[in-house]
Amino acid sequence: MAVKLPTVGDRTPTDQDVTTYTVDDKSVEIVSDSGEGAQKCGQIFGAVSAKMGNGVWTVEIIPAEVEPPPRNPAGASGIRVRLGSEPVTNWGDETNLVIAFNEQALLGRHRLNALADDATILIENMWATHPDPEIRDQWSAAMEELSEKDYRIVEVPMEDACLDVVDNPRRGKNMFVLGMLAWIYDRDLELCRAQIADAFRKKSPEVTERSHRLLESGYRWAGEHLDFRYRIPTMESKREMVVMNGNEAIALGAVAAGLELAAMYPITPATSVSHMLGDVFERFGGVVHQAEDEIAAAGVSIGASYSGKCAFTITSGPGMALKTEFLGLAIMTEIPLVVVDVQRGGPSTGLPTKVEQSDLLAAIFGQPGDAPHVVVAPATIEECFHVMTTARRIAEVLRTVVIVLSDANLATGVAPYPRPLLSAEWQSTPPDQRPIPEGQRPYDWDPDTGISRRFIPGQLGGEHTVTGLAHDERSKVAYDSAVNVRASTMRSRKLAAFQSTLRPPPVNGDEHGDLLVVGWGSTKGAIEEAVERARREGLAVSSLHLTFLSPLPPGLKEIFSHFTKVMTVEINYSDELGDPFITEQNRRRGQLSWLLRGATLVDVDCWTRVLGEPLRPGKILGAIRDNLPKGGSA
Amino acid sequence: MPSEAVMDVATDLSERAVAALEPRIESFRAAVVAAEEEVRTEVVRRVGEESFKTEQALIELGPFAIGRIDPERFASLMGIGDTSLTPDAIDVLDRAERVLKGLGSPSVRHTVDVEPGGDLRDAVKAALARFGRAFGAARAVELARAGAFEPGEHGALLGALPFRLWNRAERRLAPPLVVRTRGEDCVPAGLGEFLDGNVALVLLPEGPTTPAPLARLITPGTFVMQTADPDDLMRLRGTGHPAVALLFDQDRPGQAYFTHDPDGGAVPWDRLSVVRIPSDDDLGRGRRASAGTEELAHLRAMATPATGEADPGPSDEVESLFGDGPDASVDELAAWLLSRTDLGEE
Amino acid sequence: MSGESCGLLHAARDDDRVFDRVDYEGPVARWCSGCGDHSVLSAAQRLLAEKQLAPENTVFVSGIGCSSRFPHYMKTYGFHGIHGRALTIATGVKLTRPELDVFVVMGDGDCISIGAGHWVHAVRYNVDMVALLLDNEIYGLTKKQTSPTTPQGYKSNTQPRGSYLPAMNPLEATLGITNASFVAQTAEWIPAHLFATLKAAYEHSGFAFVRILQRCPHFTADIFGEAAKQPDRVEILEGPGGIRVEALDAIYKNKVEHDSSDLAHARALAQDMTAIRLGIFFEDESRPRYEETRSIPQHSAHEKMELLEKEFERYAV
Ligand SMILES: Cc1ncc(C[n+]2csc(CCOP(=O)(O)OP(=O)(O)O)c2C)c(N)n1
Ligand SMILES: [Mg+2]
Repeated sequence: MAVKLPTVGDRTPTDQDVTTYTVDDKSVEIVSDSGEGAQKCGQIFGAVSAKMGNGVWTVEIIPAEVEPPPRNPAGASGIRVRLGSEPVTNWGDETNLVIAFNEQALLGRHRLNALADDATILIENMWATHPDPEIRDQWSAAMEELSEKDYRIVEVPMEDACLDVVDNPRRGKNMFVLGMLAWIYDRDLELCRAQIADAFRKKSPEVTERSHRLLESGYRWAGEHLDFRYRIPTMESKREMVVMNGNEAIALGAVAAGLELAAMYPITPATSVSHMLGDVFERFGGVVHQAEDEIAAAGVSIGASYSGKCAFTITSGPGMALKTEFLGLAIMTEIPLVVVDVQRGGPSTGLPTKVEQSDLLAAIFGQPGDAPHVVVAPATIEECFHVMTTARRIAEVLRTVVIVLSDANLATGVAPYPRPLLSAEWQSTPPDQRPIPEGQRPYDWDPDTGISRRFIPGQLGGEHTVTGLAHDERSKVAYDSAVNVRASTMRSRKLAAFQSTLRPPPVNGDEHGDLLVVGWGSTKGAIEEAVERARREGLAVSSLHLTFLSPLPPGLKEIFSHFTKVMTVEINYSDELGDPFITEQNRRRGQLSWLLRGATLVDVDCWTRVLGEPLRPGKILGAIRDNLPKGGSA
Repeated sequence: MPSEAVMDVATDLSERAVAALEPRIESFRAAVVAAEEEVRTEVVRRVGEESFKTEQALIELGPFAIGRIDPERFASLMGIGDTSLTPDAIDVLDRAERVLKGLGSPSVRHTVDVEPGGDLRDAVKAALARFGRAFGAARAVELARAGAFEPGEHGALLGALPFRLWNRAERRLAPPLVVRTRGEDCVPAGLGEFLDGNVALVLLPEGPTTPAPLARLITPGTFVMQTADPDDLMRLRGTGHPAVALLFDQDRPGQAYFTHDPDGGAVPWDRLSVVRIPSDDDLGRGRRASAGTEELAHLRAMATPATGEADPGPSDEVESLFGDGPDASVDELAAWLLSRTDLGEE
Repeated sequence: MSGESCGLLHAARDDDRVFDRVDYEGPVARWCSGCGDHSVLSAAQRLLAEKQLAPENTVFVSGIGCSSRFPHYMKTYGFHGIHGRALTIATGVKLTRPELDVFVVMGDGDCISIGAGHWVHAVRYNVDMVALLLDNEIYGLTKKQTSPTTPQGYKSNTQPRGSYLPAMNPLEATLGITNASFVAQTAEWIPAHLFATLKAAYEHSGFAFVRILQRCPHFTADIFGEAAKQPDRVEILEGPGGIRVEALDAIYKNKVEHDSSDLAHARALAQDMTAIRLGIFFEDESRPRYEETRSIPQHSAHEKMELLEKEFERYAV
């Protein structure tokens, strides 16, 4: 139902008319045609909210097409900001409040079921009275379609109102919207002004000044015309926070980890890491090399690592495919290498901007031959920062490849996290240049662990040729069975030795129950939120989140044995029982569930989705309810 | 005995000389300190308890590993295959570390006094050998780490290491010296052997000397300067060549002032900028005067362009052709110029 | 060529060694007898001795193929990589350790076919290293398949009725790449010329690309095996910036006057594939070098952490 609120000139609501709702959690979307500044508006709103002590998760809404025509449902561009009174770990469920610059962008969101049934919508209403009859018709048709739901639609003459303070309302409407949001959520205007000044610090002072006027005008307009406000209690945080997206965190993490060369080839959604590194890395003495392709990027990083520096390469699925042969070489020659895969939807070019977790098995098993190596997945933006230090150290100690699996959800999600306490010890020491004592060989595998000391060019007495061919301790090519068995065993033993240092992952919730939900990577926040809600409903559900996927941590079978049912929740494809042809035996399952079934012989079920968007906690909750074993405690 | 006032002048000049050499002193010290830190870390690591290794693993893995990786177990994977050091080797490292620590201290003086009746060359030689202990210690460390340290053969490395035994790289790291002499003993002819790598010597005579004691030290690759102006010493900072400078304590008529800068050009007269070459009349009489005449003739020969020759191009190869005295140098220069005419052979 | 060797402990290792050719000799090379690769190996060992390169500071990188076994037979550091990708590895080595001397050895399939993309870009990056293309105009290791440089009509196991297309011209192609700074051709059966060319390539500062015509006694004996017997088919480039090997004058009488700074003339000379033209086609040391265009500051771990703290300021809330 469209509710027409009093517009300018009508009665102004007094303080008594305004109802303030206190909520713990609220998702806001600002949608527009691309280029109208909705994202900037949302980023500033998010940053201000974080500064005020709210949990925040922002994620950009990227149009489905590269250059969509204006006023088109496929062109909806913008940003979602989820606020909470506690730390927010994921993008949440449907949006509660939408500010739309035109009705077509809004329709795009409506059709994707992105909006809550009772969402409040503030929409620019100049289109209703537009001189072009076609646009007026589109408006009416859209309003008709939107009336399917119980939205509360508030028409706002945004451009009209902006005209009071600026000549060209096209530019800067987003700051007016920021003003409205600031009033609705009672944001500190001083903080807003400061954040605006920071956001436009590279532009002329007039831009900031104009934006400040628009901010105040939006704030005033909302105060004069709206009858609702939201209060989201804030929390005290003693620790200083920083706010960034997962790709920025990976880039800074690489610097902190002392990685000295980043080689890459541009690919969404990994590219922004290299943008960020291109900006900062060299100031730290690092080299960012944009190679001619992903293969070369892998080759250059391996060459750098071979030379005693620790290098990394960053890419997404299609690039991973190209690097495959080189990963095998690094594993065979035992050259440490960190590879970051920011997963998108696949296969092939797939969904370049959208999230999926479908590179898991390829990351672990995707190299021809037996190629044991480490695969680790950060689950939060903070972990994107810290994982780099750990990955580097493991790569160097084990002399092997460590693949870090991030994804588009982490790459684009922006959230605050405690400012890291940096340690200079994370940095690299200069390449080891001590002479090699007589008799030492380049692969003197320690029989217990498979680990040997790396020889680096420049080390006197260590001259040898590394090779991707089967080789013995002296790095001499050897095709005989004994050597091949020994070398294969030693490479594998490194993984076993490393596995022995891993601790069993903690169970979130009770250690016994009806259902254990197992996840990995960026879905942690959404899964734990869903489990939390399920437990409040009285369901005997717990969750387990895996960080190391290869090798898997110990104790999984034991943990699983305390639950009636174990089910993975993943963003990748699986057949549904009940689909044509599908049986228990031929069913293609979620990738983690394949892995866990193989490793534990437990009948691990899966619930997976490939919607091209992060999982919503509400949907996971639904899956939990649906999958509770019969006769459970609920 | 020098008067108090004279003493003050001398102290002031030597302080200014040290200041001019500061960057070279610092880079030597930095190299010593860095080596000392590396050795100390290694010693600590080797003799350290297991708990130290665990602590190190915990820090190096970073916060991401907390709760996920057992640092004690991970520590047991670190350093596998590293050369294990015998207690004897660790002992060598330990002793070397003490030597390095001593030489890396900011209070180490780079000033040397030639004892009354002593010899300038001997004083410089002894001082360099003392600093050479740093190189000896570094070599001992390398040998010990490679398991090749033989106390009988290599024990002396932890004592003095004479300049003669320094290798190319060590010479490039050489520490600079400020040498105070009385004047009449300022006979630097024997210093030539030390002018290599990054060696820089500043001589401070506290009385009259021959007019151009350093003239004989001029070779194409050596920075040589005589001056009475302490500010000129700052030029030592800019040169990447072995350098020797003489700073007179006062202006006297019989002193030659000049700078020979290897970067100045391909031929001696381009490299040599003369402020003053005294006339032979300024020299007075006696033994000192006759030595002086020779020095000045040498200087003049070098400062005078040879006529009618084309630009000979780069001078890298001329090094060994000089140093045999003024006449030889001019002749050999001519010979060298001739030799350059058939460059096509290369 | 020495970069970061400024530490005290590093200095301790500078032992005034003098190297002889045998100091660079690894195990006996296991190429077929009569294979041209042997000759390139000797020339390289001779070059290293002449230049007194410390074995531990020298790296030979190769791909996969007969020719790519090269590093195994050297007593230096070596990286026997994967097919076609040697140049990428070498670039990584040189970008991070500029003080090392890097040589790359590739076959014609390795460089011109599977590694073609990297070849084009390595030429343009112009990173200081020596790249040797050992061109026997056939796939040797995998036993006689057509390579991009196999002459048209030449029969192989994959194109038994003869290679369908005109052979690729590696010189012409390399000379056409923007920022090429050194392009030369030599033949392994003329050791003096080979050595002189390798030396010039090593002395060049930038990416030195040398195509070495190489006999394969098994699969292309009738190509360069024959040419080696006919000195009159060879034309030696001579002139400013070129190499001059007097000892060859008696045998190789055909000379082509060429100024190695003249790119247009170099391209014209390279075009004609029927003549066997040896010498430096082009050299220009003023071309930008990728590793030099990026001046990388050195920082201690603590300085880096201070810088990182500043970086975090931008993200603080
Ligand atoms: C990715 C890949 N594809 C194919 C091969 C098989 N292979 C090995 S060497 C080679 C060609 C060798 O020819 P060339 O590069 O000319 O070297 P040559 O043996 O003639 O010296 C091929 C196709 C391989 N090792 N790797
Ligand atoms: Mg071939």
